[in-house]
Amino acid sequence: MRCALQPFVFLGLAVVLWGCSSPARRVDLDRDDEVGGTGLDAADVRSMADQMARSLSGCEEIFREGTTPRVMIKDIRNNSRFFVDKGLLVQSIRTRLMEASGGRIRFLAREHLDAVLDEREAKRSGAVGVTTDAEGEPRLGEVAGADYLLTGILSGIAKSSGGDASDYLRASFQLVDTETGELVWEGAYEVKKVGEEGVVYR
Amino acid sequence: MPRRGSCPSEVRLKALFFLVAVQVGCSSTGPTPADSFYRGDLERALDLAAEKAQPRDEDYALHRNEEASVCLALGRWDRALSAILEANRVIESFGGAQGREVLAIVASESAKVFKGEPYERAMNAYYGGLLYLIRGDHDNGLAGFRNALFRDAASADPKYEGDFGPALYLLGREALRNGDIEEAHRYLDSLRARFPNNPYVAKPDPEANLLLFVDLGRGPEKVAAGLQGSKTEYRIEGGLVSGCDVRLGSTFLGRTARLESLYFQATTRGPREFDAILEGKAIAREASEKVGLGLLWAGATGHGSRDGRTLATLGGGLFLLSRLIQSDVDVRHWACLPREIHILEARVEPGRYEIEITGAGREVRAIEVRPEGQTVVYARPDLPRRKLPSPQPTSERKEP
Repeated sequence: MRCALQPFVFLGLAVVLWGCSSPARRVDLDRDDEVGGTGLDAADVRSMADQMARSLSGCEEIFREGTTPRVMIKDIRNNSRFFVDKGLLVQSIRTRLMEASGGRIRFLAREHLDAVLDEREAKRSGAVGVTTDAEGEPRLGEVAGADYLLTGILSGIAKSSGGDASDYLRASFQLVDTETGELVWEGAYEVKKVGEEGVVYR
Repeated sequence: MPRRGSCPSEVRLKALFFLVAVQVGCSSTGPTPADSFYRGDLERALDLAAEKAQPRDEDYALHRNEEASVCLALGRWDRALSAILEANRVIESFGGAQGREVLAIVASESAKVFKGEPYERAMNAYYGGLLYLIRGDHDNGLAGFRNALFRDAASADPKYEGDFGPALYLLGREALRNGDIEEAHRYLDSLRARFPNNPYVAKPDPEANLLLFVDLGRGPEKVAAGLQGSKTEYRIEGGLVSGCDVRLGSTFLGRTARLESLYFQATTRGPREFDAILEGKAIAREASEKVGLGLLWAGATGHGSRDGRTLATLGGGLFLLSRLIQSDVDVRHWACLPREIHILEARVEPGRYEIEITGAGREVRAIEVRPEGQTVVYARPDLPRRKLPSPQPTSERKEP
């Protein structure tokens, strides 16, 4: 009887151990995780931001005449089948661009425009103090306008067969001169991912 | 006079039937979110769904989806979207739970991580799209509808691939708004054939600025049928669902029209590859059960002879083996889904209104029609309600 039960006991133990949870752990942001999925993940967002930042920093045209170009990031359009956190995408790209450009590009924080205008008004009315320059003059200025608009569009082609899925995603970015409407730079990040479901989902 | 150590066959038979009863058993499940949901106790349903939704649980996506259904009925859009996105992450994932997949093959199918049938995955994507539209995030709204079509394309029969009504309608309507007639035809033609009496599908109004989506009835119930419960069947309660009358303040806007039947979507999925595995397990279970019981019977009536005891032991072993083979199809399903989805579109002056939807039930919601873009409203009027839902949150964004 004992012998007959042994395989079941071992099988039960194996199942229990298999099902045991493991503690949360840190993983490399630039590597694919075990959960998979064919959409954009952290590694893609970081690679995309890096690639675009390098490419844009190398665009000499926007640095002509020794000026510091002011860039406003416009909304990134999502034409893929995936829900995308566009705020996260914009923030990642802006952060990387600022790092890569080493301060040679200025970004406009138009999402905070109302707060900026309120603060300017408070300074000018004397309700709050104003920083002064070397000559002791109050440092007041104009709200900066954008020299360039940075826009983006995320597109995709999705295919499925049985439990398999294939997604080609292309994020393209354009820099548009706000005076002339000229497209002065364009860059794209592409990725294709495939996933296969187990037989239990087919 | 019976021998020492032996017992009458009648006692053995009773013991045998007791064993069978214990093995067959009956599992008791606690209260489900769906029970409370359809009773109209939405707060209780929400608590239950949230309580059951544990991130490492195999039913996590199911409970998150049910939480979203309740939040939609309550008008809690932000929480509904959060729940939909959580479930969507599970649905979109590949791998990461191979252990459960092995268990689903060797033991019960319900050991696998719940991702839902194609119609449930499509509904998750559709609700996500709808919730983004309600927020005013047009792009992500359309992404949800594209994903709903993608998820629906998993039907085994090509005739029913990518025929999910709400997604076809919304993408077709969007194409019309953009002036892309060819693209609009691509989405709308098949839908027109399925719903010839729906005036909004026959001729969508791209200028309409109010879109109402109404969920009606109780969705399909997934049950195990066939040999040893190895086949999937769907049941629905009641007859056809009729549309609803819609009033905006004191103005009659019109009557909603049917845009999708989830029973149709559930039953046109076609056979699965895994059904063949379940069928094989069912045949093995049926055979070992019948042979086992036969041998047990023969052994029980063998009056304690050595052959009788051997037969009984063999039969008992086979019967227990049959109990270990689990051929039941996984019957977990998103029970809070509606039976049908209806729509209404209208041109309305911007402003604040009370919209009243009456038919199988009555629901009144406070809405604000935006001056620009389109305003999307969701309702589930046929639930018995203890309280009216709270108004839409103010964290909505403007449609670009």
